[in-house]
Order: sequence, then C-alpha cells, then structure tokens
Amino acid sequence: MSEYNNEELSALIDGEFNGNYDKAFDELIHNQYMKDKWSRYHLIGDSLREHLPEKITNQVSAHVSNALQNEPTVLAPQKTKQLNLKPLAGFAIAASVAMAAVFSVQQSNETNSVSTTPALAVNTSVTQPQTFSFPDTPVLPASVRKSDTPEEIANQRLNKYLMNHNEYRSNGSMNGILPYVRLVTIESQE
Amino acid sequence: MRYPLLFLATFLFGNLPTAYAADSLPNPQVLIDEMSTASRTLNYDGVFIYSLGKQIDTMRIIHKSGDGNSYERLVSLTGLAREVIRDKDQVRCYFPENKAVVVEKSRLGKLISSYLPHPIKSISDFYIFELAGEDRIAGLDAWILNIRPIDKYRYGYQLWIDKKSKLLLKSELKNQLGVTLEQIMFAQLNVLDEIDDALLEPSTEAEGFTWYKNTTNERVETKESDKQWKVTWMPAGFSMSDQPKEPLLSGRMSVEHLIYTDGLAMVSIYVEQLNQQPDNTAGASNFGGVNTYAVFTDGYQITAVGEVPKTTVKLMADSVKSYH
Repeated sequence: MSEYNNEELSALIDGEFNGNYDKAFDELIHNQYMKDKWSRYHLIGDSLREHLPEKITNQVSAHVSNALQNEPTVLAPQKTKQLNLKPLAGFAIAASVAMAAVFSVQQSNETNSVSTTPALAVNTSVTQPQTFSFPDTPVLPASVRKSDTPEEIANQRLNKYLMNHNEYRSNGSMNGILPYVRLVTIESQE
Repeated sequence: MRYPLLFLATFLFGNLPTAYAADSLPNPQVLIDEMSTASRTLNYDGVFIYSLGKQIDTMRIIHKSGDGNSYERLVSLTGLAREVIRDKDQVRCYFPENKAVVVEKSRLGKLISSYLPHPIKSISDFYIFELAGEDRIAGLDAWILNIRPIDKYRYGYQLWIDKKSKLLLKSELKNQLGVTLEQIMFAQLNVLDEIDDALLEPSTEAEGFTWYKNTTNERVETKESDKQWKVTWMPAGFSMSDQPKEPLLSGRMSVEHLIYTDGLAMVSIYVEQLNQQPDNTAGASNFGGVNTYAVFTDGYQITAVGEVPKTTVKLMADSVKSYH
C-alpha cells in the first residue's frame, strides 16, 4: 500500500479492500504515518456513528498494547460489563446485594503504578481480633433465583464486608449517616 | 492569609464586628467535637441532597435522642422508597422493591470511646484543621472547616457546620487533588424540642415482606489452630481500634475482622478462608468514598475496605501476614 493511498486505507478500514490483506497490514504496521492516519480514520468513523467515548485518547494503540502486555492469558472470552450487570440487577435485593450492582460497574483490576514506600512499619500488639460470621444461607428472597456463579458469590462476599464496615463506620465521630446514605441511594447506579 | 473574609471585613469597615473578633472564632477541633456531640444528642428533622458522580438523590433524616440513646430514620425521597431505621439494638433496612427487610445488629454508640475525645488530639498530627470561612446552607449561617490530610494515604473533608446548633449542614469528601468525590448538603434542617415517635416509624407497609435477620448472639469457638493475622503496613497514625469484643454471630463461615483507624478514616481488614481461589475478586473496587482491595494468599482471601484512597487499601491488604 503506498504511503499516500488514502483510498486503499479507507477501503481497508471499511472491509472493502480487494488486495492482499496480509501485505497491506504488514506495510501498515511498519509505517507510522499510515498508522496515525489509520487511527484518525477510525476516530472520524466513530465520531460519525456517534460512538465516541466521553474522553478521547489518540494513543489507543499504545494503550491497547500496554493492556495486552499486562493481561493474563484468558482462555474463555470475557463477558462485557453490560452482560455482567444483567443478573445482578435482578438480584439486587439485600442492601448488601444492591451494592454488588454498583461494584460490578466500577470494579477494575487496575495496575497501581504508584510506587509507595511504606511510611511506617507497625509492630501491632496482638489484640484479640474481631471475628464475625454470616448466616449459612445468603440473604435472598424466594422469588429471586439464587445464583451460584463465582462472580455473584464473590460479589456477595464483598457486599457483606461493606455492610459490616458501614456498621462500624457509622459510629465514627463524623458523617455517621453517610454509610446509610450510600446504602439507600444505590439503586440508581445500576 | 487564613481568614481572607475577615481581612476584607477589617479593611472595608475598619473595625471587626464583635462576633468575628479573633478570639471568638471557633477552634476547628473544638467545632468538630461539638458537631459530633450535636449530631448525637439533638432532635432534628431535615432534608438533604446526596451527590455522587452524576447522581443526585434527596433524603430525609429524622433523629431523636433520649435516655442516652439515639433513634434515627433515613428515608429516600427520590427513586426507590428505601428506608433505614436505626435504634440502639437494630438497623432495619426496608427495600420495598423487593418486599424485603434486612435487619442487622446495631453498633450505635458501641465505639464511642475509641473515637472521642482522645482522637481529636491524635488526628491533628495527620490532618490539618483550619477554619476556611463562612457560608449559608439551608438558610443557616455556617462555618466552613477544612480537614486536609498530610499525606496521600487519606482523604480530606470540607465541612459546613451550623454556627448555632453545631450540626453538620454540608460535607464534601475530597481526594488529594481537591476533587470532590461525594457530598451531602442539607436543603432544610430543623432542630426540634420533641420528635413524635410516629415520625420514626417506617412509612413502608411491610405486610407480606420477608424479614432477613442477622442478629443472633451465639459465639463461634475459635479453634486453637486458627491463624492470627496482622497488618504489617499502615499509614502513620493508624492503629488497631480498641473496641470491645462484640458478641459473635453463629454460622458456617467465620471471618476475621481487624479494624484500623487514624481517628477519622477507618479501614476494615477481612480475612476469610476459601476452598478455592476466586477468579474475579482480586483487585480494586470503589463506591463513592469507599475503596476496597482484595488479595488471595495461601487459601485465604484478604480484603481491605475503607474511606481511604485506593493506594492505602491496596498497600494494607498486601501487607497482611499470618503468624502463630
């Protein structure tokens, strides 16, 4: 593909290229000028189709290859966030479970690049730690299908922690109501 | 310039109104103490706005105190008509959309000793308190108070406190960059002599609702072989909360819970034994000002939960070690 052949590039993007794909792509990935053009064409296309995200980055390819590098090998195709949400929305029952919806929206396994040196090494005196436990049966109404997918179980676990933390938190000297405010408002986040 | 408004007033009018004289400006830490007492001991009924990201909700809170106890009812005025009712024994959460009431044990007042008044002293080493000016919220004159963390391991707050009743009128939780993560603001707040008990009753007709209770008092025996856990890293000023041992709940799963606080922020560490490694729970989650971080090690999942930046929950969760 010649450096200035915009028509060919356009055809390639639209899936209407009739030439040798392998050769064209090979040339493309070794040509920064054409690669930049490629990404601009995609941006234009997305913009026309109103598929643009709120924030645009012009370094998509760099981000993608970064992300791929940090990605563990995935054997099964990952569900999208949207799909993840579906079972949870119908499942939002207990206060705790309602939190799951929120959490699945915002959950991210991001790599924390902030390098931090421990500010303080603590030799905690051995205080008897708190122990608590949960009822055998997860809190679920009969009408709601109990789901045993690992994701939902994991979400339930996290929610229980949050509820429990809130309970203690609400005794703090400030913002005692805030934990419950969070609880009450969760549904609109789904 | 600590009090720019004041300076301006002096400049413009030549003399300070007596109320603003430097010696009558409230001490920020005393103000926080008074706020804390006011929120527990007064009777009040108010409507406030809660905002998180793009979401805005309105809620009503009714608080009654008597016999040294607090009774509180929180009702959502927007969206689903959820309610939370708290007294000294129980927290009842009504979820009308699911015809469910979830009852949790109330820990109201149980931890007071570990927060007041001692922490006010110790937290001043890790947060800078300053009076930032005056404002008007819900028709009431308020002091604005800034609480800025000294490092990146905690969040800051900006508080608006009613000059008269000392109740909290507005609160913003801020990250290191000063970005507001969530806020509440009263639109109306009335301090009352009496609160009718009827106002503390749920408006939800709970007929046909399913009740889920988690309030039993049986103890779980701790096995001799159980591992002990401790957090080996935490931000300066954090220490394990000295709360009294609570009655333990019965159940199949027993989860160890360690609480750490710097007097203002609180981080819970949960350690739970799992038969197999969960494939999707590791990592960070966030809801408003609350961050969580989970790691899996040696058959145990360790989860840190707290109103602190993600860095802090991550570092704390990663630092948990077992010993015998």
